[in-house]
Amino acid sequence: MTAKDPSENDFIEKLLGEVRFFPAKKEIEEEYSSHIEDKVRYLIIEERMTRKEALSLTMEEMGDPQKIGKSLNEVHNPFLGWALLLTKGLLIILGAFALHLLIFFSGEFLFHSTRDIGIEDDLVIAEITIDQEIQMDAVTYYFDRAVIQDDGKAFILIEAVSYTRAPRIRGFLFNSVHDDLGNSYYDLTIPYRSRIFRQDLVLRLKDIDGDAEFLALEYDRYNREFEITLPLPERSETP
Amino acid sequence: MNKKTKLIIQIALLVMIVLFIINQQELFFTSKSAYRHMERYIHFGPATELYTSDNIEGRYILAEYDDWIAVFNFYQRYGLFYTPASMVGELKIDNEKDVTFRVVSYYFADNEMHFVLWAYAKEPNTTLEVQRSDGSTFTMKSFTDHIHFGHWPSEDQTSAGIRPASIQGYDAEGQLVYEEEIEYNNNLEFYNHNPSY
Repeated sequence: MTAKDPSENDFIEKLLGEVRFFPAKKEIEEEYSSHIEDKVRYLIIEERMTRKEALSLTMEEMGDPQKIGKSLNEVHNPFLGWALLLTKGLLIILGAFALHLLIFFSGEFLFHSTRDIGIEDDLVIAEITIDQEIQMDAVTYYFDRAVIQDDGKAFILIEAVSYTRAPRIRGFLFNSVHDDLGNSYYDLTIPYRSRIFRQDLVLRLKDIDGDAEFLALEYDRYNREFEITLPLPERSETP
Repeated sequence: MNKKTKLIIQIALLVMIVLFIINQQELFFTSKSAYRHMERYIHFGPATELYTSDNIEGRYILAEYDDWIAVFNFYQRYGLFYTPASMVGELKIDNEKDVTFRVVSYYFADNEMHFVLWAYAKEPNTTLEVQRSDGSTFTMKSFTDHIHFGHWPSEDQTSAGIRPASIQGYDAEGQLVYEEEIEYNNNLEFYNHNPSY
């Protein structure tokens, strides 16, 4: 690149002096320098002019740099320019954070299997489809299925879905979890996997009586109530 | 694409991202909306708000719903938002008892362990005092004629700090009308009623 002529420098400086959106100045400077250089080269090659002559004619043809600079403010509107820069910056920062949240949820979705909640495949004797839907306030609970193990453990898998807000269930207690023989079981339904509009919960029970034929889950809190009955399979051993 | 169109697209994208973050992070502009959100997710209420505390000594809403008194704890997040904490402590009023009472220890105020106490006194205008393990007395604050609430930081920031040891109730004339020792369960909680309602 040839060094700039003082007249060219003066032109560019005057032009840039009128531009109000300073982040655009570099781009404008490069654009106009290159435009002047192209024109000068053309005149030297095609019109057989000396560089000095070509430059002088080019500067003359370019017109008043201050006028050009003022007119450029319409193209490089400072308000639009700053708004674009600001929103772009925010998009990058918040986009990265949102991506982190997405990866966090989809990562849990991809890598967190039901095995992590303690189900031992070789002990599973039955998978019972419950397929019951309970709507409470902002959340729909799908009682999906129950996994029963031969060692007296049971896992009741529940999906909590809410499309208005990401469901963040901290866990809930049934009032009573008991079998047909009158045995009561301690319960706490806890979340084990979060997705964008859904949270997977598990109710883990242990030491279920081998002679019991069904489990009853009763919820009656704060004027909301429902009951789920779950048939139990026969077991080879009783804990 | 001209700059105006580009700006509109960028703003639209930004709004979508912000809504996604607000949704996923449980962010609310007011403590009350955080509380109403929490209420819907624990399937409580809609309750009547009795008192809101929003300072470093404790951020919570005391609410009354049917036969329950509840405390919803919340945090401030990113300077501008409120988000519900995990604590929702509720007390079921037992009308058979003179005073229904509950104590928990919890990170109640900006990561500070507190003893948190709820009480419902059947007789109106009862003053409830708590004798603490260090010998000091704590007077619970009344929020209605019957509902009393209080909390204090555990001195050593564990649930073994200055615990409530007993509770006394005094009538309008200052006569002792109720007294109960506080014995904790394994979860360092105390109820004088059946909590599994």
